[in-house]
Amino acid sequence: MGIDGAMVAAVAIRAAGYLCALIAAGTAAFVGLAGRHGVSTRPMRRLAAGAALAGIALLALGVVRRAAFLGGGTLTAAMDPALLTLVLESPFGTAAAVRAAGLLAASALILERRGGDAIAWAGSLAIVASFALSGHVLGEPRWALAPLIMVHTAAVAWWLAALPGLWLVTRAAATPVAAGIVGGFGRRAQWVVAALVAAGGGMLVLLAGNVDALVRSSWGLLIGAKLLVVAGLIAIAAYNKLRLTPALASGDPAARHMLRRTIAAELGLGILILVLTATLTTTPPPGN
Amino acid sequence: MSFPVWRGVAAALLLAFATAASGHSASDATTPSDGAVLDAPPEEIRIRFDQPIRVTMVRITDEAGNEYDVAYDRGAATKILIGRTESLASGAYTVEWRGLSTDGHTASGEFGFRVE
Repeated sequence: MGIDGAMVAAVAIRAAGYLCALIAAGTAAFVGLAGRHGVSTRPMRRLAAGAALAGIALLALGVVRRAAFLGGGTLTAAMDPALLTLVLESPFGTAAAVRAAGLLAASALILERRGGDAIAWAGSLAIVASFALSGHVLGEPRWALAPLIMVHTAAVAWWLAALPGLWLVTRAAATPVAAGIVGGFGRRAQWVVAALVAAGGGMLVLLAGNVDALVRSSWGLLIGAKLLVVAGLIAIAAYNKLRLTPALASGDPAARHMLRRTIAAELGLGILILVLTATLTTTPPPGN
Repeated sequence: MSFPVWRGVAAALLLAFATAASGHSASDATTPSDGAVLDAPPEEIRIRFDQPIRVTMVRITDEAGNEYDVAYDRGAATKILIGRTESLASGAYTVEWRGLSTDGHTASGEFGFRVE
């Protein structure tokens, strides 16, 4: 696997696109949780709207980058109408169009109105659905793969999008409120992660036919790196749940400070996982 | 984040392998074959794919980096790409291709041959 500027750009665009889409799709759920505890949700709404608009820009950039790649990596190819049309008419183009519409709808969170939130929820659904419209989930049996990737993506979005909000809550909210939100998040997380595992297991069974060949390749190294990072993330999450959340509820000021740091670390590791995932899905597989 | 560690580890494993098992188009045979030494220049090149692909670029270059024309049906979905080449002198050549898989992924590859 060679590493060059074009590949770095492809990975960066894709990872940033994942991050924006997941933040935009998942924030509506966290806003609902935080709003019930009476905290201001404005910063989270602004973050989601900003992520949505950035996500749309990244989708457009992704279309242009693909056209450039397909034509040999030149600026002329990036502007070639035939190549751009080819990309837009491909499953990637369909997914990008649905995701862009979903992102636009998700930005309605900024309105801070019940109607706007309903539109944003519809946008979240569209964003999640867009992940079932291109890539390996187009294989058979699609009737199973499509819902599995949607459940999987929804769970990841719910998790990732909550982290900035949790950080803000632990920074500014009163202790009982912060403890209530963090605790409520933890209780829901068990169900969400169970769904994530079930969906991932289903995809593993359906798609893992060539795992042996892949783990011997450079892809295997990337997967190993990703697993290490995820293991670190899980360790931090467990520490938050078992130690810091009870300590926060008991009024320990050090726990609040530490929780902010560990949530920030979780977010950082989450972004690193997205980068590794983007590298995996951007790199042409062995045999090409 | 709050959930049992074992669930998280299982999720990580599943996430990683589900991602790794994506299905892109790959070339599984070429004519000339990779590394072939030919007595005469080929009139055409063939690339066979394991699933239909829309090839958008085929480029033949020699050791000096000079490019040679290849005529092919650009952008048409096919499992076998046939490209007609201009006459090639003695030397080593590299064929690069790029295309779009039916699942929306970009794909690329290259192979080389020598004309004696």
